[in-house]
Amino acid sequence: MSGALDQQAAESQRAAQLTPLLPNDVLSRLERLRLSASKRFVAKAHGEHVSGRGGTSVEFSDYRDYAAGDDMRFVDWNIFARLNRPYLKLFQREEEMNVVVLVDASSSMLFEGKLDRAKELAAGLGVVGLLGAERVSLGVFNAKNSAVSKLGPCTGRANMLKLFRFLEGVEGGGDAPVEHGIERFLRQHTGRGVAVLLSDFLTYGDLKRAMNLLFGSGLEVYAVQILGPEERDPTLAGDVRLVDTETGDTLDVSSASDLLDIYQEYRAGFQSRLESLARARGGLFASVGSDDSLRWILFDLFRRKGWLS
Amino acid sequence: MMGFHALWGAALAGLAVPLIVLYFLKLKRTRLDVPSLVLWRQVIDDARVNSPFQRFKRNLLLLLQLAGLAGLVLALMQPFIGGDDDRIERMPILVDCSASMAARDETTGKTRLELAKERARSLVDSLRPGAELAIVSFAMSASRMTGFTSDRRDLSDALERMEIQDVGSDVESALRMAEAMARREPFDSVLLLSDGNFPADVEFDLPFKLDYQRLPPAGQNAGITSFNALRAPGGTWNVFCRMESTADSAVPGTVKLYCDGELVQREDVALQRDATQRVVFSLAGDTAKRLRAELSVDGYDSLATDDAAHLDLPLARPLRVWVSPGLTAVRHALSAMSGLAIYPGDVGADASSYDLVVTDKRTELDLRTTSALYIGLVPDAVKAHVALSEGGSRAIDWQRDSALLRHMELTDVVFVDTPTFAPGSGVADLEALGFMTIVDGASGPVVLTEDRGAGTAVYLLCHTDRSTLPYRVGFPVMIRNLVEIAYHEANLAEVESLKTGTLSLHDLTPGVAHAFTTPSGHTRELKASAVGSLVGMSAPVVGEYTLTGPGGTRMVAASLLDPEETSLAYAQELLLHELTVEASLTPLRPERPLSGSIALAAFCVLLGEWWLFNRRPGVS
Repeated sequence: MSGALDQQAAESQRAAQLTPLLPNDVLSRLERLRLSASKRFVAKAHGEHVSGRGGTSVEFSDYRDYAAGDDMRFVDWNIFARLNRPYLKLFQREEEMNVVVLVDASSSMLFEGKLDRAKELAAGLGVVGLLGAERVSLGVFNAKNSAVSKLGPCTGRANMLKLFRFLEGVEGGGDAPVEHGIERFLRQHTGRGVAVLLSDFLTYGDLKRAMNLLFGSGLEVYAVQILGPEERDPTLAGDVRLVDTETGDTLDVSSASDLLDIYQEYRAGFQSRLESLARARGGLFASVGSDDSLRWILFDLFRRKGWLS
Repeated sequence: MMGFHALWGAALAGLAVPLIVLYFLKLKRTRLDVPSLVLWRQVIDDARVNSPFQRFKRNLLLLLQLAGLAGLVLALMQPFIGGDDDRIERMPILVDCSASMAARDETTGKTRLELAKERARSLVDSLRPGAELAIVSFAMSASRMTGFTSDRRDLSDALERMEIQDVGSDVESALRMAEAMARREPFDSVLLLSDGNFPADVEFDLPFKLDYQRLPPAGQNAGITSFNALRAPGGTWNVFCRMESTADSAVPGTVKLYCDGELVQREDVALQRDATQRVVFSLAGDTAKRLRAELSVDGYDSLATDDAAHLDLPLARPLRVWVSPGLTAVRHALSAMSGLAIYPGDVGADASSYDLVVTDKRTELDLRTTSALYIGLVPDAVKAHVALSEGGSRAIDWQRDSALLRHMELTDVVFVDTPTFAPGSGVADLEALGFMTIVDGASGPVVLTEDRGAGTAVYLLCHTDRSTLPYRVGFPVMIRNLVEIAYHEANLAEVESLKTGTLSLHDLTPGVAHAFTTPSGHTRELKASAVGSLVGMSAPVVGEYTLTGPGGTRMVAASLLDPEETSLAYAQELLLHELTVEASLTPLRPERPLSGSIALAAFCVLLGEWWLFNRRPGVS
């Protein structure tokens, strides 16, 4: 009797949710957060972010490392003469920011709830962008030979439901590498701002080129690598034949348990490279597990890393 | 040097090919879908993963199976580490089983025979396929325990059956047996296992190579080497016991004399090498006695069988002599001697048996006696070869070392009768009949002797009444010699212990079967001869033997009493005709087969492979 009541209560609660992607309490907390962007960017409309641009009063803000694609006019040559290293001047200018959220929905993301976590994070960061009066665009890529599913740009609270419905309707599967999806999306996008990449980044392709394209497009990279528990800490043993779900390639591994330490080395190295790629372009990187708590990721990890404030 | 008996086994190494093929065909991998192989490919390409050790680990099962196969193939090839017996195709092993081989080592407690068996057994155990051994034991004579065989069980059983014989060793008999075996089944070499306690000089021409392995000495030994009694005046016996030892320094000991099972006397002795010790006991001769002497020493005594000796003392009675009443010269000569009971006479008309009969009457030929002098009588068996005729004869030649003719001179003795050989007859014919000529006349024998087993019969073919012999000084000397012979043959003057080897018993019921039982309880039936003797009965061990027949049960004891065996002396080399064979102390190094060890190792490898296969996860 009590079990049926509990079930009814749970169903009632679910029916009251705005979206199955985010619990209502999470939504409430997200309303109070804003994306923290460190790079100076330019957008035509007026936004809540400060930027610097010629012609108006420009206030010097800070220096940062020069990255490929930066405007050479803003390099501080005095510092370069002294330190023999280029630094870029940052100025403050209040301007509207583009928030681009790219979701990797290829077959590799179908494991262990990675796509679900990606959709949740996309929904959360999208909400933060919308409520922060930013121009939020969503891009989802699946297969190489299919177009990137796109939403936006849109802004304001009124577009929250639209955002949620879009993400709820995302189906996973396909063989699109992440760099391929990024390139295809950028063909359709204009505007500077922040690009949030939600993927496992497990690709043979050239991520550096994709990152450069993003940066060159004026988008600050927020890369979130999502890995499943078995990818973070495999429990393979014996002689196995691994099958890549995206490419169909196979790999025979013998005495897999003896190779786990080496696997962890390579995973850490891969992660480190991703982080370097992001940081070198003024971006940020975080690696989360699909089994990590959503609340922890949004309200603890991202805030500690300064992604949200 | 290592070798293989079955090189063809290497062909089975070809099984490795199907083994490898089946291994990789059999190897099943669990299919596992993963999001991406990006990281795993980098792992597999890592140099550490591709190191030889890692390759080894990944294929450990295959390597274990190949190792197991290699082990089995190697075991099938029957590898061995060569020994000294590489050349053995066929070889007899001669094992000394004489009394000295019972000497026990002070440290190990093993007898020499046990050590010999161990060495022989090691050769049997390492016998190569196709090689054959034969086991021959020898002591006083050689005995073939097995023919040439490769059956290890038969050979081992033969070694097990081998027992000590308390007699000396005759290595020549063993070599002759080996020679006889070689005529039917040739071989190149013979192995002799012995303690070396035998005469070094061997009258034998070696037709094969002889490996003489001398077993190490067991330790010091002391034993009784002689046990006898001499008749003493007053009807007593002086019992003599001689002991010897191999100890370098004097070892105290005690010799005890038991009479009919009771300790009667004891004597303390000190025994040392090359210093024979003799003790004398005096015993009354009023009754027959069974004596046993036992020696015990304070130090180590390796051989036990020479520590006791037995002696049967008869009643010290007078010599019973029958002299035909007509032989007055003989009676006169006997009357000067004491210790005689002369029949017929004051002692009586006759007796059931005599120790000495002197007669010239054919009717008295069947008087039961041990020794006899027949005067003027030609034995019936000899009549065809010798005839008596008148004519006169002299003694041309005689055996001066004969016990009867000691201290006698017969040159001037004249005989009226002439013994003459029949045409075509000679001394050889008489010898063939068992008669020895001890005095030769010009035409034929004058005096013959016949060994009747229990005693001696002397035939003086010419009657003393028809000769000058009774008038010679030598006649009473001859009669005294005859009495001494009779004393010895009747065991009335000296008694000696019976020695192991063969026994001869007399005064049995003639022509009747008797049960002869050995100390170990074996009984066999033996028939006494026409004169009531059993001669040459095998008595190989020390102890009491029993003879049971119509006349009752008689017990006789045999003792070792062999100074050579007690000395445990050894011959370091055998001196054969034109050849000397040196003894070796080191045993033949047998070939060491490795098949068993390798097969066991291969089995363990396969067990390990089975265990590893079953515990590995993820393999179906």
